[in-house]
Amino acid sequence: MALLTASSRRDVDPQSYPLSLYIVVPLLAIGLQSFVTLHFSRFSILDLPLLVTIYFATLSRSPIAATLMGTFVGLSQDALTHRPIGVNGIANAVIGYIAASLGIKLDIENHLARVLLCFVFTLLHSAIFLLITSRVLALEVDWSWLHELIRGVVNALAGVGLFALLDLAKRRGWR
Amino acid sequence: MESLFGRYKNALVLMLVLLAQVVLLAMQVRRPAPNMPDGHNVRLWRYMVSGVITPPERLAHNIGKGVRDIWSNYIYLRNLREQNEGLKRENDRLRLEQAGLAEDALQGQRLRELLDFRGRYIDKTVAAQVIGTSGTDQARDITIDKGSKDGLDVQMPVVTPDGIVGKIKNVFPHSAQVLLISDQTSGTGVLLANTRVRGVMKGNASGQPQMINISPDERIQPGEPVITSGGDQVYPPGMPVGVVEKVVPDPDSSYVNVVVKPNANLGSLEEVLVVVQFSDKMPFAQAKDLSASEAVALAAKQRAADVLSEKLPSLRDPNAPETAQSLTPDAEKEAAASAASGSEADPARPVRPPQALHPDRYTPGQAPAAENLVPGAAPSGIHRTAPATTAAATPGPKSNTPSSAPAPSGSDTALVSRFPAKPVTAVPKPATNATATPTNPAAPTTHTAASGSATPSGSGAATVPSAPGPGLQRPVRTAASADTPSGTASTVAPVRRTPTPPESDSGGILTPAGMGAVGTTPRPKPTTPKTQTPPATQTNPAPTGNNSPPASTPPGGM
Repeated sequence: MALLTASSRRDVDPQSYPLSLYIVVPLLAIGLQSFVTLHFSRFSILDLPLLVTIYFATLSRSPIAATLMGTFVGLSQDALTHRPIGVNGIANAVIGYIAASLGIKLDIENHLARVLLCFVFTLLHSAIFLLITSRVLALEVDWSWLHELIRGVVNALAGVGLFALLDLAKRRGWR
Repeated sequence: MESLFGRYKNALVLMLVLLAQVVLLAMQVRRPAPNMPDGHNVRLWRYMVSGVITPPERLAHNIGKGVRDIWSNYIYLRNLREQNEGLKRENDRLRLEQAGLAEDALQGQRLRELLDFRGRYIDKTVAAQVIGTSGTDQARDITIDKGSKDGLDVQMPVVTPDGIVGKIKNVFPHSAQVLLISDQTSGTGVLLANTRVRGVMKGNASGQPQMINISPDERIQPGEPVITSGGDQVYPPGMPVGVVEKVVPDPDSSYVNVVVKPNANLGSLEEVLVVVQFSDKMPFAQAKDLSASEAVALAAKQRAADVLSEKLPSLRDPNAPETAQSLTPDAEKEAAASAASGSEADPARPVRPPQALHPDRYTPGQAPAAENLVPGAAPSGIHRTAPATTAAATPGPKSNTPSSAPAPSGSDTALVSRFPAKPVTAVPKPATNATATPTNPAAPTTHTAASGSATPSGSGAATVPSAPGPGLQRPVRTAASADTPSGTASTVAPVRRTPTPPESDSGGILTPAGMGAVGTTPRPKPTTPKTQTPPATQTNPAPTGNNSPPASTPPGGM
């Protein structure tokens, strides 16, 4: 467990991106999710916007910024569907808040920590989404533990690769 | 207070954000605006996101489509010809099917007009390309590259040639969201084609369309087609939807749910049609196609009537020789090939035109020329038929045909005079070109027979004496193409033989060439010196064309 916690100054320092990437990367993730799913329907098991939300939340370590960013990404996801807007917004806002809170305490550059974060947050996102869909919108929900576990594993593995890719663009130092 | 806010500001911001979104959700659910299912509040946000996401998607889609087009249009053309042939065959088949249904369609149209029923026909469609999806399993919808600028509006049906796809849920200036029929929130009025059970179809949680709350009915079986009923006022009635996949009981009630497998491949849609305009009357193009199909149906009926009249047993003479016997092997092959090809192209088409079973003097081409009539001779109308196959098939010793004579057109049978008192002048001559056509001007008298004129084209003059001499020569056929429909006679190789009285043969009446049936005819007695006819008594005029050999007198005085 000690391996996963942030111990050095390097781990605790906030890291940042160029401001443009905070907008471009989430929109790119949403567009890719929409476009690739059109040609590979199995791609829908992946949730690129959620992974991007987790990454930026843990990177910024600011719960407010992460909440707002999660809201923005979630609402954008909802806008591409015919469903009422706000379901993914609520779920991603909660995920962003928790991820930013945990980002201070965890070594987010550790691959194992990233896998665990992505796996847990994927399950949490599914739980919030299903809860809102069934309780607030009163829609039928097809829910399966196995499917959710597979989805969590896939997103965790994809998250490691995506985070490593996004690490190439980050800059270190105090903002 | 300030310290409290500073201490819990993160949580407070989160609460505020969540509260705002819950309120937003409640407003969308409770207050849908007319013709705007989501209300006014979120339309702006959808529009903004669509305006940001859709252009890159459209660009990526166009790039991918361009690459695919280059590959498919210029590089991958290997199977294009086969595909073209297959499509032609399918087109022919579909045209026949359409012709068969044209009459019913027109009748239905007339009845509809009589009863003053209002039809709902697709009048105008807009083709659109699918450029995106929602990206999640929870929402089954797609994004197309046409919007309100192209005349699209909400609730317009989206279809493919295979079946319906969905309806437009949100429309933007240059794009639109289409709600698929597999979504949970969709609703489509459908009808089972065979059992005529009506119901509402919507998607289940796993994205499978199903008719819900259907009374249990054992007649509903998998594979039954499902069509639109038109009751939803979105889709026109009668459009294909899919087929019944299975019937599952509803766990919450005593009804059953009919799971439907959609005809359209909802998972990989590329191009769709948006129906933007309906009409009460049949569109002009459709009516034109229907009229053309009706004409084809009438022609097919006529052909069928011809075939039926040809095959009626009452019109068939049991004593008449079968035409198949008079075919040479080559001709049989050709006839079989033509029959096969004809059956492929058009099964209702007769392979051969009808032929006269009993040619008589009234048959065109059978009446002798007036200059050939002999007073006191047997009436030309009294004939007997003999199969022409013998000579055609066995041109050996049985057929003593000293000269070639063209065959009467379109006759299967050889005509032999019953009264051989007046011998036929036979002038043997080596033939070099024995081609004959049905319109041969050198039509012989009634004594002539059609040698191998088994085909409608009536090729004749297939047998020619080999060389002038005192006796009869036996013609030898070197090719059997004389009986082919092409009407081209074969070249005959002359064979010398010792002069033999014609009576010593099988006993036929000496007839001009091609009178193959002579060998099978009982020989009348007494015989006459048929071969000693001087050239001056030649009755068969020399043909003028190339289609028959000239019947000139040989130099030997034969």
